[in-house]
Amino acid sequence: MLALLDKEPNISAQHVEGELIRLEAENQPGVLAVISAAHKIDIATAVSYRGKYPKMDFLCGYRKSCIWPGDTIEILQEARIGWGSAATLTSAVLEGKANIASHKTYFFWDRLLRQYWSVQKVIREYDRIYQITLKTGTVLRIGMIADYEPTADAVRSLWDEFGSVDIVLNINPNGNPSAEAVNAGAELGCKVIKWEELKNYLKTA
Amino acid sequence: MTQRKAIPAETKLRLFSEASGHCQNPDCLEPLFPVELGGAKHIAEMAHVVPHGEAGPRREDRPNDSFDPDVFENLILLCPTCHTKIDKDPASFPRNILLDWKENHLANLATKQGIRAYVNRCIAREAIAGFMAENKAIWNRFAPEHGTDFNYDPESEVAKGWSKRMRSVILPNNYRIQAIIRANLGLATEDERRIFAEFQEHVRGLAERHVCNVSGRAIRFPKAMEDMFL
Repeated sequence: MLALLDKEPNISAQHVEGELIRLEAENQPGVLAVISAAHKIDIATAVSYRGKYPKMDFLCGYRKSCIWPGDTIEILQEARIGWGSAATLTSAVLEGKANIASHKTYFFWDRLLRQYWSVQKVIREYDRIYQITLKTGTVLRIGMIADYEPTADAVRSLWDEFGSVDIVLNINPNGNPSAEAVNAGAELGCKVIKWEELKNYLKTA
Repeated sequence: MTQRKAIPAETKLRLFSEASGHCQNPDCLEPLFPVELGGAKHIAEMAHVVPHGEAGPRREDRPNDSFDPDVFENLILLCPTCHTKIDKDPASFPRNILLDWKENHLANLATKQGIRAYVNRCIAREAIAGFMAENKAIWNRFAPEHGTDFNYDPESEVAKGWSKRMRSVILPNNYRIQAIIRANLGLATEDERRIFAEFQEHVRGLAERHVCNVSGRAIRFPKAMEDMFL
């Protein structure tokens, strides 16, 4: 991870102790970040890191596969500790917003769902799994896939890992799910769609 | 006033196809789907070599009364500037010149794009290097998961920019690179031929994805292409 950050020309990184590193960017406050290799960062893990490194500004799950349950996200945000991927950490250090940053893959989507006019209540179960209640009373479970072109396997893996969803949302603005991914969703009983399609769906659901 | 009949769609398609998206004036050869318009809109104008009416430019070259001016053979595809130029100054642009432009268009275009057989690998490399560098620069900025400007933001303009650049710059560049390498395959090693085959498959997938909206079939850009002819 240090080697990765060293490639970023505008950031300098130093090992402090254990999993804690200190990051500096020009004209920005220094950041103490915990770099975790965990595949899942649950409350116990987060609390343990906090006990060990009480001054941490940011908790980074550097693995691409790292999963963040919603309750962990909540306690980190309440404690003003940023959370997310290595890319989130890099951007946050450069912008001087490490302790309020949240996973950049899901940041815009979290805001969109919470601000959408027909959505009444949002429960974030995991970083990528939401349960939303619409003003009409309809409850929907939405799973997000960030891949450029989600495959049938990606849709099935989401179900295996997080259980059934009503909608699989492909959140990469450049990509589209393959026809096989859409078919896999139909077989499982969910829609595999993009934001524009979801907006239309939310209007009538 | 008699109304002109529309030029048949087949004739238009044939004309666009033979022009390969470029003005048929050999001194111009500018893209008719300019980058500035995102590669989705064209500026092409169909110009008559000999005119419809008795008063148009090059009217003295009309073969006979039964001649149909809207046939493929009497049309040439030009950018608006060249169309204006040939019609304002017909003496400098007679029928035989225009037909010659059309006849030699693909050869002229190939020469301009560096598509020819070279004597050594070094020159072949130079011919593709600029196009590859341009594609890589765009990829580094806009790439759909790792570009420096990329964000998982559905309202981002970057995603639209990527799509436009793909159609108007990256794909046309890839077709040029393919044509140059194909013309110089004699200079390639066995490994390079295999890598080129992978590159061709990659480009097919890109076209499916970005032109035909069929996702999930493209293979990744073969990294070894960066060293082609080095």
